[in-house]
Amino acid sequence: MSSHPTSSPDSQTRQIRPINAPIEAAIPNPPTYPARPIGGGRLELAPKKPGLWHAEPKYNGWRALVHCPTGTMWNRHGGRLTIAHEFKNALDRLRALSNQGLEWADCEALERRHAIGRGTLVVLDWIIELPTYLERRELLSSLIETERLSLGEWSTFPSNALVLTPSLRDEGDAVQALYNSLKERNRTMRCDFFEGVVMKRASAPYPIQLRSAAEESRCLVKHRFLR
Amino acid sequence: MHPLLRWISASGANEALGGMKTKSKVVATAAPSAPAAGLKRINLAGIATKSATTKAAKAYPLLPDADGQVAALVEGILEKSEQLEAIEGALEIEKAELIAIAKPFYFAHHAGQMAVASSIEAQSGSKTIRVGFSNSYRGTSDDSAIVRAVGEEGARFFKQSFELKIKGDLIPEAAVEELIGELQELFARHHAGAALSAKAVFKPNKDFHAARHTLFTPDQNLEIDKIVPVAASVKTKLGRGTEE
Repeated sequence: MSSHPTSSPDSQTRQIRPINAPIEAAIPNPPTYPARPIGGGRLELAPKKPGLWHAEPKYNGWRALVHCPTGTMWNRHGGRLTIAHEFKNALDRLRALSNQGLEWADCEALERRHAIGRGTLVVLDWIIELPTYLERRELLSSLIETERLSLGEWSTFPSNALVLTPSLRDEGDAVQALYNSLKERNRTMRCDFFEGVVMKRASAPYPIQLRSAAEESRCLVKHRFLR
Repeated sequence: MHPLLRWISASGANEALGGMKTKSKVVATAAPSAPAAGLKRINLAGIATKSATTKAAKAYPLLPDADGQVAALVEGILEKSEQLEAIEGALEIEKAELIAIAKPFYFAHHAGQMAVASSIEAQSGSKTIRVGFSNSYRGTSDDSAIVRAVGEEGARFFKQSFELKIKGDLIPEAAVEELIGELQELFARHHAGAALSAKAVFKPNKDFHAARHTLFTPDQNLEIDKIVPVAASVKTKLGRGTEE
């Protein structure tokens, strides 16, 4: 994992040092902006993607990057998240997992937009430089319980919890079935809890970049429901 | 006299709006030209009087559709937007896939050479696509990553690039001309005059958007729109805000 530029003041780096100053000395700045998917339109209209892809539910919440050892949260623009105190239980769990190698987690923070799963962090990804999506999933699923509401195996979504988003391999019509069932679940819950699916390329590393919060990565594609 | 200025003058809008103000950004060089009558450059005389903040109405007026033309356009725009989004997304993925395949070849093929082709060709039968590699790079703020990747060459080939922006309309009016003059002198003193450039446009102030509907007739507003068009867009996604 690359350290943030502002936390490595050696003589070489000083020559091309960025203007940005660190937020606080003890807490490192995020190594990246959260990965943003490109828009893929409605799933039923999208052509087949080349290569192997996995699908995850897209949740209606706040995107958050979490520095697990300190439990510090950032929003998708790189600013500190002001509602971090509302995720205390989930952050405590992430803090406990930090000694098992989980330093930075890419999460969806569920709060305020609806009443489902309040105070819960859904872990979307592990922010680390080299491992592929499948390798990152392997570590995450060994540490964090996968949420099963989106798979129809839970009837409710836990509050104040830490869960992992499920991941479904794109083969046959499995993803379309998931997409349709998430839409149906929204109807039965009377809430836009799911927004669609996000497809992730199985062989891709996490797209780490500090250029722009708006930059989209071609290894992620979102297929939103029509609103 | 320009019709817009005539309207502002005749209707007393100049006082109501405080006149038009310029928005300046120190970015690109603009040759000075004579200001239009009633408009001042840099010197922001008669800035808008503070009026009560107006917010856009929450309920939107509905565009009349007597003959179904609007409905047909709505259907067409939505349908094509969905198809376009799906196709654009798929095209992006396939282009990224081809670039990912071409990039290692590009570096391997040109290893040790100084004369480098700007593109790599990819073919399917008689059809050809080019993958271009231009002398244009996105920057990074991670200087330590550069040093790790290229070592000593880092300082030779990389330097920090930055732009300083000046929001001209936030500078106190009385200080603008003197400040700009001093800025130019300062840059000239450091032999950096070429680094300083500016562009300025005349834009309505923030009160104009709401006030125009009480100050001008619909015809006048259409005329004004020919000079300073209002930003208009077609939104096909009517979901929540930008935060995700």
